[in-house]
This record gives sequence, C-alpha cells and structure tokens, in this order.
Amino acid sequence: MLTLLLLLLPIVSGLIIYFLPENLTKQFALVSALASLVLGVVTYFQFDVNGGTQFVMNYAWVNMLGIRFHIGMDGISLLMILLSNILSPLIILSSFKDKYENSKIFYSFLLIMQGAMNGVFVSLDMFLYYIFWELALIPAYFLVLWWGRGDNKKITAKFFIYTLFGSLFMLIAIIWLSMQGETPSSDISAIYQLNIPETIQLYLFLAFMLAYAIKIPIFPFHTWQPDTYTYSPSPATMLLGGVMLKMGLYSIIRWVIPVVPQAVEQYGIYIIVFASIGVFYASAIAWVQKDLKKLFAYSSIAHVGLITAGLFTATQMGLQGGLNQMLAHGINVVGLFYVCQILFRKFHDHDIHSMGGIRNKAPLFAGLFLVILLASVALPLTNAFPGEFMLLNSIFGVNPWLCLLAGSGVILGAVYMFSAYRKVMLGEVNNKTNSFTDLDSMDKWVLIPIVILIFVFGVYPQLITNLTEQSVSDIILQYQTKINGIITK
Amino acid sequence: MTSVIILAVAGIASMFVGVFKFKRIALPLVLLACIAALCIIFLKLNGGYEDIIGNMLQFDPFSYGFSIIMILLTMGVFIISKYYFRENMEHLGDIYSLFIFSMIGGILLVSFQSLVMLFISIEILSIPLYILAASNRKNLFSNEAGLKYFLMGSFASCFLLLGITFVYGTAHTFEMQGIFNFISAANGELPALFITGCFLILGAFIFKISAVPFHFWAPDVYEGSPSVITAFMATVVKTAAFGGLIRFIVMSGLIQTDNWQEIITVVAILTLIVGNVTALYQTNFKRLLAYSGIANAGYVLVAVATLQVNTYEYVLYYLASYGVASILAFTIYSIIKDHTGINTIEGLKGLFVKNKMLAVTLAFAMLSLAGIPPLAGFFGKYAVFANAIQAEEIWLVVVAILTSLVGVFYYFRVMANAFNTQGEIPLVPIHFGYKLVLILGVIILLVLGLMPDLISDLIA
Repeated sequence: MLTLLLLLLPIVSGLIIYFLPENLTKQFALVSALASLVLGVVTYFQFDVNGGTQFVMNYAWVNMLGIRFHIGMDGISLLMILLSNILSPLIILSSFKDKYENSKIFYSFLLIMQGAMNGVFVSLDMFLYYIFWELALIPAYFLVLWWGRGDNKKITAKFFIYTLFGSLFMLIAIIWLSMQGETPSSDISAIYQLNIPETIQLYLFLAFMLAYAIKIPIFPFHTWQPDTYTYSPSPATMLLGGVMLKMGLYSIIRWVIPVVPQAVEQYGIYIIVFASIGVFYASAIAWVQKDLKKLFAYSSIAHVGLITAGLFTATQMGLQGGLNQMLAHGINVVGLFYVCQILFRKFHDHDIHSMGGIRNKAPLFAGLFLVILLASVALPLTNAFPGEFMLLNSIFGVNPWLCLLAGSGVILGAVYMFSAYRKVMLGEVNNKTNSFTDLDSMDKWVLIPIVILIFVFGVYPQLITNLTEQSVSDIILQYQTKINGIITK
Repeated sequence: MTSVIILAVAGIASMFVGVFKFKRIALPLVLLACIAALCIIFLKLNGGYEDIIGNMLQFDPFSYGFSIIMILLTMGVFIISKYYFRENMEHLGDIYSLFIFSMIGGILLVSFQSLVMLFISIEILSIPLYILAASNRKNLFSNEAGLKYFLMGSFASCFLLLGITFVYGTAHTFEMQGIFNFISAANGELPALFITGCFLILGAFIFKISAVPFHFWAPDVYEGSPSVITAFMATVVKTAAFGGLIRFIVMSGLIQTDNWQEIITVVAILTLIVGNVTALYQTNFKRLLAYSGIANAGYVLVAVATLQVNTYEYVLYYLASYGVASILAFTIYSIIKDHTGINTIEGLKGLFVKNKMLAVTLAFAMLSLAGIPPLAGFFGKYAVFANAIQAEEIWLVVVAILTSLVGVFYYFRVMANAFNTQGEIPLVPIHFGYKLVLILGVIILLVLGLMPDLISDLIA
C-alpha cells in the first residue's frame, strides 16, 4: 500500500494541479513533494533490512501478454525512492524564485516525472518498469523543450531521439525475455529464473546497455548530455542529473547483473574500460569549460562513469559503493546546479571567467558552495567519500591500471572544481559581480538541507550501507549462483 | 445476418429520410440501427458459428470482433459528419446511407467464406466510397480524389478478379474450405497458376490497406476527400481490409505454404520505411495523417507476416487503437480547418493558447499514435512486436522499432507546434457532437491502454 501511495501521490497531484488557481500551484507542488518525502521516511522506518522485498502488491493486469501489476521495495529500491523523494521538495523549492510561464503545466510535469521515476524504482514486472521508464521521459522532453533556453529545439530532439532510441532496443529485449517461459510473463520471478544461452545473453546485454549507456550516460554515448543539462531549466536539470540518470544505474543492478550474468562476467570489463576512459575524458573536458553549468554537466559524466565501472565489477563492494555514490551524487548535483541557478538569476549567464570576488559579497553563499564542491570531489567526511572509496577499491580488484584511470577523475575533479571556484568566488570584485547579494531565506532553505545531508551521509554512511546490504548480497548471490551453475555443468 | 439486415434497412430508410425532409431524424436513425446491430452481435458472440447463403458467409468470433470495431468507429464518424455537413444538409441522409452500405461491405468482407463473396463484399465496400470521396461536388480536389480512387480501385478489382479466376481454374472451387483442401492435398507442390492467383488476390488487399507499393493513391485521395470521409476510409475501411486479408490467408490454408510470408514481410518493411520517412517531410497535416495511416498499416502487416493463433486479437486491438486516435486527429483537423482555414502543421502553432481542449485532445491522439505508454497505441505496438518476436522475426521487429522512432519524431512535431505559445489561433467554437467524440475518444484511448484485455475478452 505504501508503495502504491509513493507511486500515485505525485502523479495524482500532478493532475490535480490543473484544477487549482495559478497562484497556488507552486505551494501545492511543494506540499505534495513534502508529503511524498514523509511517506518515504515512514517507509524507511517500517522497513525491515533483512526482510527481502516488502510492501508488495501483485495483481494480474494484462493476461493477453502475461503482464502483472507487481510493485514492491527491497533496500535498493527504497534507497532510490528516498533519493527521489528527498530531492523533489528541494528541487521544487529551488524553483520558487523563478517565474515559469504556464506554471501549472511546469509543476505538473515535475510531479509526474517524479511519480514515473518512483515507478521505475518499485516496479517488479519488467513491462511495468518499461512503462514508467518511458513515462518519465515524456515530461522531461517537454520541460526541456518549452522552458529551456538557447537553441533548444535541436538539443531536445537530440536528447529525445537518443534516449528513446536506446530504450526501444530495451523493449525488444524485454519482449524477448517475457516470451521465454511456457506462458508469457514479464514478472521478475519468471525473468530471474530463466536460463538463457550465452550467445543470446550477449545480445540482451547489448540491448539493455544501449538504453542504459545513453541514459546514464557512459562515454561514448554522452554527447546529448552536456547541452541538454546546460540549456534545460534548472529544476529539469536537477531532476535529470539528480534522479533520472539513476534509473539507468539502478536498472543495471536490478535487470542486468542478475538477468544476464554470463554476459556481465565476460563483457562487463569492456563497460568498465569505457566508463573509466569516460571518467578521464569528461574530467579533462570539464577542465577547459567556460560555462559553469556545462562544467558541472561534464563532471557529472565523470562521476557516473565511476559508478558504472564499480557496478560492473559485480561485487558486494562495487554495488554498495555504487549505491552510496548514487545517493551522494544526486544530492551534490542538485546543490551544484542550484548554485548555478543563483548565479544565473543575477548575471543571466554562467561564464566562469567574467565572474570573481563573489566571496567578498556573499560569504555564506561562498561557504555553502565550498562545502558542496568539496563533497563533489569526495573529501573525507563528506557524503561522496565512502562511495568513491568503495568504488575505486572494487575496480582495483579487477585491474589496478583501470583503477588508476578511473581514479584520475578524483584528482582532475579537484583541479577543475577548485580552479572554477577560485575564478568565480575568489579574487577581486569586478563590475559584474559588484551588485551580488548574499543568500536570502529561500536559498538557505535549499542549500542548508543539502549541506546537512552531505555531512550526515559523510559521517555516518552506514545509514545507506545497512539499508542496502542484504538486498545487494541477494543480487550478488543470484549472480554467483547462475555463473557457478554454468561452470559446474 | 440479422444485424446486416437491420443496417441495410436503416441505410435505405436513411435515404428516404433525405427525400421526405426529415433530416433531423437521420442521425438518431442510423445510430439506433448501429446500436441494434451491436446488441445482436453481442447476443450471438457466444452462439458459435453461423453459416448462411450456402456457406458463402460465415459469422464467427473473428468476424464479430472486426464488425464490432467497425460499427463503433462508424458511429463516431456519423456523429462528426452531422456537424461537418451542417451547411450542406440536403445530402446528409444519402451520405449516411452510403456510409452504412460501405460498412456492410466491410462486415461481409470479414465474414466471407467464398471467393465470390469476397469480390462482392469488396465492391460493396468500395463503390459507396467512390461516391463519398467525390461528394463535395464544388471542390475540384474532391472530384479528383473520387476519380483517382475509382480508377485505382477498379484496377485493384481487376487484379482481384483475375486472381479469383486463376484460383478457380486450378482448384475448381470458390469455397474457402475447398481451397483449403486443395492446398493440403497438394503437399507443397502447388501449380504456378494457383500461386499467381493467390498473389493477385493479396495484391488487391495490399491496395485496399494502402500498403507500399500500392499506396500512391492514398495521400491524394485522403487530402482531397472531405475530412469525415477520409476518417472513415483511414479507419473503418482499413479495418475491414485487414480483416479480409487475415481471413483469406487463414481460411484458404495459404498459411501452410511459405511464399506468402516473404511477400508480406517485404511489403511490411517497405510500408514501414516509406510511410514513416515520407511522413517526416509533410507540411500538410492531413497528408501527414495519410502517411501515418500508411505507416500504421505497416505495423499491422508485421503482425500479419507473423500470423499465429492469437494474432488476430492483437491486430484487432491495434486497429481499434489506431482507429480511435485517427478519428480524433481527423476531427481536430476538420474543426480547425473549418473555422480558420489552417491545414499545415506549422499553422497549428499557438493552438494551446486559446483552444486548450483541442490541443490536449490532439496531444492524446498523437501520443497514442506515437506509441507512448500508457495509451492504447503503445499496447498495440507492444502486442505486434511481441507477436513477431514469438515468431522469431527479430529483424522485422528491429526495423519496425527504428521506423517507429521516426514516427515519434513527426507526431511530436505536431504536438510541439500545438503547444507552442508563440503562435496565435483564434478561439474555435466546438459543437457538442464534436466535443462528445473528442471526450469519448480520449476516454477510450485511456481505458484501452489501462485495460488492454478488454478486446480479447470481448471476442474470447
């Protein structure tokens, strides 16, 4: 029941919003997002970490094709749900100071997107999962198209075609999988039981990874991402970077590693290699960016590249680290993009070189920005550190050289982040930044919770690892049994 | 059979209604007849098979399913045509009766059991359409459309007749059962003349469903005809033709041979590519819908090429979802065209600003056509792909999926234009009948999308 509520609350509020007066939409959206957060927290406290999949609802839906309405949460799903529901109120609050035309549709799309993403995280039927996966894309498309800036028609088309292209191949894979049993079934239990020949596993692996590599994005499928992030309206960027890309990472854990284990064992190394190259490549490009938002977009590619590489080690350490870092990256990215938005409100651009000396004008802003920045370069005691450490540790187990390559992202990250910070915040005040004022209460309401979360998860990462430990070891067990089963044959 | 008789009587009555100036009762009359026909079909759904006229027709769950969809779609067309022809009311009775006769042709086409009946039903289906396409006498394009459709249709009929002759010449029977036995007895060594005959018949069907390479008439005829008639042709006629095609392939036993499958596969792939890619370059909204109709025929052909036991349920579902979305799109097109004269896609800019209902409904229609969950169009595509994957035709599905990506692009272009806030379209008044169809259409798209089992339960 809780799962269903988590799913329906944002979607239903997204529809109710059309019937409200224009001046109440923001507030209503915020209330709805806060209610989701409360639900998420309630779920967290009712959740039994050793209880497997909980809060399950399982009904027959489309008999013709063997589709069930099957939702439920294990630790991994719950973590993702928490991520999406913690970020949503912050994202909606962050948009309060900006005026968006047709605000009803704007907030409705934000909420529907949140609901659809929750759906992706709780679906236990592959077909249902696919529906939510696509459903999340539609509002994203219109958010970028209608409220984005710059030449956004081309950018949106690229974003949309890329992501849809990938997910359609995933659809073929899903249909194929659902046809393998005696009766068609796309339920997780049926799919996990399949024993798929190795040659076909490769094709399925490619079909899935095309969708996820584009969504996450992994080098060399990342070309849509920097432009889309840069020119989207700020809340959409936060949702895309904070939550939506985690759909891809989550799917690797839920639908790739246990379903096509042999392929992961044999070919996962290629993904690790590409992802590690991507870490280095994106970091190097981020270094030379003049646009602050674009810099953060590239740094996001580097971070998720590292997570992907860690996931494909298919070890307890890699998956735990990945999940830890997914939550951390979501929180940090929202913070970073909100910093961009604050600067953008004042200057109407994100040009790094033309700013400077803001720290003199806004010490509080500078301080909070610095904390978020430090978190995103994974300083110890911030939330990204435990995750990044575990990820690098797991990659080291595969190949030390790859670990070096992927680890370069951490070093380069510190370089480009600090140099950007120096140019924007330190130095002399110039004409442009002269009129900058410090944070007002609305900004504080967004940034201070983010900073608190950074420290909470940095000092006490067990909050996450305890939650997901059992579920991750279930997945790993599933993976190991299937691989060993083949070997003993 | 009773339902066909009721409909025929209503058609004739509707013609006289026109003569005796009772035009107001024309719409209730034909709607009532349709509802009565539907009721009778529902009563008979579980009654099994019904053979009539010496086995020339057979009403079975297959034909009932297709008939229900056709009647429902036609009812939608009826309601919108009352308003569409409101300035030209004198012919309303005739137009209704022509619709009804054409639909009866469709019902017979999905129930035929003999090649003679196949020919007759296709003619009953087509001849009223030639008249309807040219019914806007003062418009040159309408006349052109009528003539083009007639000439092309005659060609197709010639193919069909020649094919029937060849088949009769070798198999010595018109009966589908007889042909079935003939194919079974031949053990894979069929006379060349017989195969030629079958292919000629398939060709006639390919013409009727406007699949590549016999699709060239469709955009011109669709564009020239009055919009409601286009809506009828693009939905009801296509449903009937697909019903007939599947029935022919299954009943004649052609399904046991292998040549036909290659032909249909090639036609399906060509139709998908040509239909979708050409649609991409259209500027006229109605022509876009015409090409989208061709493209959608391609998806159904994918299902036909991988025919299995349950396929016809999937096809029926697909045609229903496509039909509803298309009728919505054509209705919106004709509402806007009527009041503002706009017929291009670019011209739709700013629709949302003052005509929220039209824009939102258009969005639903386009999303469904593009196959976005959870609307009906998505499950239609899913079912078709699932069917093809079950038959292990993965490459066919890959082609279908890639082309559907192209499809998403142009459907979304329409939608993006409609919701663009920079343009300006004055407030367009919407008549009650239109509103009814629009709202019902959206509801059907949603309900079918959320409960896809509805149609297969209906005919199970």
